[in-house]
Amino acid sequence: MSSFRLAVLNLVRHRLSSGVALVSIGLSIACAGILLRLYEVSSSRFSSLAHGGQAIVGAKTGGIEMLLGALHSEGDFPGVIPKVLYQSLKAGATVKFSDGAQEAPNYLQAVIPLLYFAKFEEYRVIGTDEGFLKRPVDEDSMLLKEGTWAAKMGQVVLGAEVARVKRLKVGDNIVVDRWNGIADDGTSSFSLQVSGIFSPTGTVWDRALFSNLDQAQESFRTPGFLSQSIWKSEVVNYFLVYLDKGLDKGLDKGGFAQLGNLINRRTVAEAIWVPDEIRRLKELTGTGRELGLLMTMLILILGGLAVASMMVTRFEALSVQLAVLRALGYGRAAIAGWLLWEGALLGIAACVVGALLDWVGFPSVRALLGEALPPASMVTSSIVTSAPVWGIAMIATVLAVFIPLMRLYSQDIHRSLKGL
Amino acid sequence: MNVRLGALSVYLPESRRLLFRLRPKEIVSGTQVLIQGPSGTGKTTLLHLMAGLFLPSEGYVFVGEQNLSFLSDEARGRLRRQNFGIVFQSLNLLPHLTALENVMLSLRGHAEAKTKATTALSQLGMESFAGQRTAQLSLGEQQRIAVARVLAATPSVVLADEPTSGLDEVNATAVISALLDLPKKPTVVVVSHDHRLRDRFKEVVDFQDLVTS
Repeated sequence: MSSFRLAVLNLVRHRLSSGVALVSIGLSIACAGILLRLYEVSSSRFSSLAHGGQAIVGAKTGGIEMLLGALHSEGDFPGVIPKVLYQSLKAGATVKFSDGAQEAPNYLQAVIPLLYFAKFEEYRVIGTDEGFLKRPVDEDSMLLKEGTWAAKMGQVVLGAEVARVKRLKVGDNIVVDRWNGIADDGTSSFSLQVSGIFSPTGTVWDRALFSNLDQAQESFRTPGFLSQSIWKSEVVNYFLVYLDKGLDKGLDKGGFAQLGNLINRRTVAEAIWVPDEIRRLKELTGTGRELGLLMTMLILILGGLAVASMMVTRFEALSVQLAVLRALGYGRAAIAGWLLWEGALLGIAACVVGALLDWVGFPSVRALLGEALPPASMVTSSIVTSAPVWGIAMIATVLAVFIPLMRLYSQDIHRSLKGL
Repeated sequence: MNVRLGALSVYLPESRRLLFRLRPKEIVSGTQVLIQGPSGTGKTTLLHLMAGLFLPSEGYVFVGEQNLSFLSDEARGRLRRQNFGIVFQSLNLLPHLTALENVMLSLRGHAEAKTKATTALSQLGMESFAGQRTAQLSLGEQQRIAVARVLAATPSVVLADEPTSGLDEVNATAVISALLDLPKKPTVVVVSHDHRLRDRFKEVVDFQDLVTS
């Protein structure tokens, strides 16, 4: 009888213990796999974060929320700020305040507005201006792969992924749903024509659609919104600020201190320094991610130890039977083959169970964590991400066999058969 | 196949206390020998020495032309697989395997192992138990499966340790007949304190007569 057949029979004929082992290892694999995928989803934020200058100005909601809202299209509809503030800063004009104070922000190089105004299925449609295309920093600039910028009303430019996934081309018409943060304002759908498609950027911009600011403003001329906004439809969500001119002038952080003083103290808006917020987000999620990674490792170690202990117990009970086989002429190599096959078969079966649980359970776990993670529509996670866990589990399961294997090599057949 | 025991001494591994020292003894090929003696004197140990499951502290065991002390563990295993049939004192069937699978254990690498195992079970009237797990069988039935395992392997040397222990007259007769009537007339060594067996053997040795002071 071959080693493989002995392994199969020992597993199949001890259904209860094999089943318990299978479920426990499978659960460990599923937990570790889910944690690893959460870790990967959390990490993906930083690679897909859009490029948008050194500072962001938006409604007062806190730095990280603004960062993710503006450069990662996360969260609910963001708060709005008056468009006039953006216009003044863009023009480099002196800003006058009601208390008589004045500020001339001549250190700003570029100011780019962002106003979410519609959704095309799961993708957001953003109103902006041509400054969005040509940035002071060349690598931040958005290049058109084909077509032209959506300069006219009714036009839209697609991010690369939207065009690819939805198989859209220049000249196509799409229907979008109005989205302006008002829950029930009798919103309606409207049509936009694709005027251009951006080249891929590898960031969240690939998953968005862009139109001009006038088109976006149009979406806010609804009774529900107008009754709530003191600025009527003359609003933006954010504007991205490039401070390179301030750097040239030798100002600290390109003049962000001055901008912060102007915005944070004297307006309803808030200015954030992007590098600081990215660092804070990394610190915040980094702790969680490191903890998650530690938990993943711990679960795997515990799973491995459980397997090892089960294997030791299993083969401890078989010590007389192993001695019988050796007395019948089975060599140590043949019996070692049996043990290794048993470990490998158990490992493979547990990986299948674990992967199944992972596949079924991950969406629920992700939904439970809510906004702590990028939404599933933005960052997808494949079950294959858990593959390293399966590999480690397989190795651990086979390694666990080495303990009974060592005992096998030092086994005294005579004493085992005599029950000593 | 001859089995030669040469001035064997066995010491207990922990205490180094002498368990027994034996006079030289040769069991000629094809001979059927019954070794009798009270429990706890070392009969099982002697059988294990002959099978190479245990090496003597002093002296030697030759099986055919091979000194077991000079063979590696793997080589002794190969020798047992190719030449020995062993019935253990406590049967030692694998309880999660069926009767047929237990018999097939001694036929690793043999062509038509299943056919040979089925035939061996039939010879002992056990063919109807082939698919049953041995844990579900009576002691007598298990004993016959252990013997069928020997039968199927057609060995040159049969070593049986208390093969009739705990069996009634009918089962004991069936088991010992099967061992002694094996084809190819192998060398058969049975250790037992079952006095019912004395009449079945031409050579009966008292273990105490083998022991030297």
